[in-house]
Amino acid sequence: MLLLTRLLRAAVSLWVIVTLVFVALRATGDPILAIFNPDDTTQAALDAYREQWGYTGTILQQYLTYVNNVFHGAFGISNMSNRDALSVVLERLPATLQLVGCSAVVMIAIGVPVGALAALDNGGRLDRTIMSLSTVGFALPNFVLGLALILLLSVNLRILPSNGYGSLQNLIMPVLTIGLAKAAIFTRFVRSAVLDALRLTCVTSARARGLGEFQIFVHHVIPNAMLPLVTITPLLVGSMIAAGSVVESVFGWPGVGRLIVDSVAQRDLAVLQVIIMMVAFLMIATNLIVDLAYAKLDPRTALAHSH
Amino acid sequence: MNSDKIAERVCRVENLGIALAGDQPISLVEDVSFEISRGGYFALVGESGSGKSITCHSLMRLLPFKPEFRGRIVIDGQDVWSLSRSQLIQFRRKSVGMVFQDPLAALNPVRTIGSQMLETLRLYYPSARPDELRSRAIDALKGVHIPMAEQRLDIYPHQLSGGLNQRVMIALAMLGDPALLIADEPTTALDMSVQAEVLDLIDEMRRENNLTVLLVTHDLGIVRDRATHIAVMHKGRLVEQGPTADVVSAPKADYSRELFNAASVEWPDRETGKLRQNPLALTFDNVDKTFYSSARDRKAGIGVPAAKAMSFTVHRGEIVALVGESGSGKTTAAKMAMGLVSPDSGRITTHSSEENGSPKLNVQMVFQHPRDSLDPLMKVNDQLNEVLIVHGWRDAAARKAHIAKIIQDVGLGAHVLERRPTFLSGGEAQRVVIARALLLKPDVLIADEPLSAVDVRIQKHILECFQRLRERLGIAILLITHDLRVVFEIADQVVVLRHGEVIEDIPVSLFTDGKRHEYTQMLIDAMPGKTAVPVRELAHGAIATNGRV
Repeated sequence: MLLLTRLLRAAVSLWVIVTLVFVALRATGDPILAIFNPDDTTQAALDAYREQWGYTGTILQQYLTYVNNVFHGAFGISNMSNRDALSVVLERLPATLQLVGCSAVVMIAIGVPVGALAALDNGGRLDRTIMSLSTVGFALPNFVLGLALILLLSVNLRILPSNGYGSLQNLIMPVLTIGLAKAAIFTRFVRSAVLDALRLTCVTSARARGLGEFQIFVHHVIPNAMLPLVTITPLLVGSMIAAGSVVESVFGWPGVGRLIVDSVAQRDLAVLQVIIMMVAFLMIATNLIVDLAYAKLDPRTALAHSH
Repeated sequence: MNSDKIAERVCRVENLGIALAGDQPISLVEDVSFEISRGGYFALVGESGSGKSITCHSLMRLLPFKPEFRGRIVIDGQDVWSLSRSQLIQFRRKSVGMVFQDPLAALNPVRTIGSQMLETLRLYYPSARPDELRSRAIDALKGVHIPMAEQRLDIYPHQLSGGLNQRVMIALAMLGDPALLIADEPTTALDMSVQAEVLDLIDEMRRENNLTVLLVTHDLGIVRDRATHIAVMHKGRLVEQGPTADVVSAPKADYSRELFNAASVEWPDRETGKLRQNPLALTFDNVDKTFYSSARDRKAGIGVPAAKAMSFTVHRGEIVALVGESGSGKTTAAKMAMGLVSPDSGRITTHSSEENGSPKLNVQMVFQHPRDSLDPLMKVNDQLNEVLIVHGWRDAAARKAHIAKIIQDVGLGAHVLERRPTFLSGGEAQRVVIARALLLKPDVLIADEPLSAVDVRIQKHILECFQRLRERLGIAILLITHDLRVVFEIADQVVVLRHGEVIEDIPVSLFTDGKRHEYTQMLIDAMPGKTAVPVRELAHGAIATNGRV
């Protein structure tokens, strides 16, 4: 029942996104003239394209044709490469997924232990140091951190290539740039989640029963601290895609982020449209998974829906 | 000191001093000394902020901050504050058990009851097999009279009632067979009828295990009924201690005398019928309301009834108490009277007096937690002015005069106007909330548990405030409470609710005539402190003892 309602909600969200993209397309002028330069294209070609993509008839008919096309996987032709927009985006996707996936691992691998350490040392010297570093980390713009890494590791130390894609060496710097920045924010979330969990009466009560500190941390603090973190993690991972547009440009990474920048510059609407839908789809899918995970992690929410 | 004597003492606290460490240490507890002998039942009494919780947490070194500690605490032969880390853990396992105020918070919400019991049992039986631990856990739950103990192991705390959760907590605290059980306000979060059961259980544990009990409470009723010794704390110091009978019958310190007076129960015998002749202020006529948790339940008709054919009236100048346990529909009734919740069927009518035109503002509400219902960042004066400005009072001088009058009506000095809520005491804050509700000259004031968040002494002031309001302004007050002492003190008419049904609607003087519905009788019997009520003559000549004639 829970799954069904959530799936339904996800479908509605997707439909809203598809519709918003349609509206955006209309709001920015005649989409045909946005795609083709009328000086270079014959009127016959334009008309044929109008016919083909349903840009004739009333706005409602156009909307229906458009939705129909989208649901049949026809997203239009990229005017940069004159190829199917979907395949243009899909071939860039693995690079971005690799980048975002590795960055997420870095974020969690740094954020969880460091944030927990800061919480355990609440107000102490370690906590203050970690929090200061975290402030520096998330205040630093991505391109500054990226360029600083290039300057240090490529120009001065000459141990990593400054640019390119394919090998592990190429991956390290972009992943560090995104991962460190997000880890700086994530550390704060972890810290406050752990602090809140440490203050719970059930932790005091476990201590009063004579449980060891390690056992209390693993069995009582972590499960309670997980709940807010599970909510925030996908949001941060989602924002990595946005961060990717800058970082991919800095490091010449052939991912979706750079494709966004290029497509905007070239007014390649078909490609942009696919990217927007894809990102939206990914976000909706992760949120769906998080919702389901949350019900598993917190028995109280499971109850709220089971009767 | 004689060592035999010391062995007889389970707990000895000498000159305890606790301060918040810092450049200028803030003293929280000062010069507290007491002893509890084996098998004793020691009650530490005081209002919130008196330092009683800090004292009892320091006995187990469970303070939520790093304190500056002075003095000595010896429990079960161990000097608690000089124990090493590992000794401290052993001490907590074997010597002391602790029960907390809110059982639902004291149990981990994301883990089953069973897993929390097994985890604790494993400390005592490290080499036991899982099924052996499980059967021990079941025995422990049976020991605190939890029905269907085996099934309870696999469910989560939120699936149990508050009373059962507190039993689980007691079972957990008793697993290590401790010498001392510390119970920190163990019944404050529970319903009246359950409170007595939990206290009985603690009594039983004490008898059967030769257990020593330290009970921390603000509720003097509990103490008089059960404790062997009482110590009264005030502003971080012990102002009085001694055997219960001595302290109760002849309290020496001014503060404890005041505290006991404020908490004394007097059976109501005043004449209240006259107010029923006054014009109506609020009527509930056959009101039904059921809550459903989902649309499917609504179709199937599986819902929680909050009002079933609920009918009662409130007259002008009258205080009607709406009494019942949690889930009885009290708060829903209040919300319906305010128009915040609409009834499924039936009529709720507010009858406005002549000088008051706008029916919307005719009913005002006072909430349970005064601090939560005030904006912490705004001065009291601004908060009161805001209400008037919203309702079109353009003239600043008129606003000022009106606010000054109302502030006086609720018994506050003008100085509170310039303060922010943080700098008000609990009693002042609650009276500011009442003042705010009165600004628009309502005919009906609804007060939802207005006393449960404030201390005994302050309760007195607020009750006086209500009393004054109805006499001076003729306001009708619908008082929602679970505390019968408050009802006896101030109410004219009592409406007892259970599962949304009115099972009693009588003048308060008849409340204790012994002819009441069994549920009402149960509420009276569960009232802490009733055994201390002096036998007194009622107006019509009958002798009432313990609420029965």
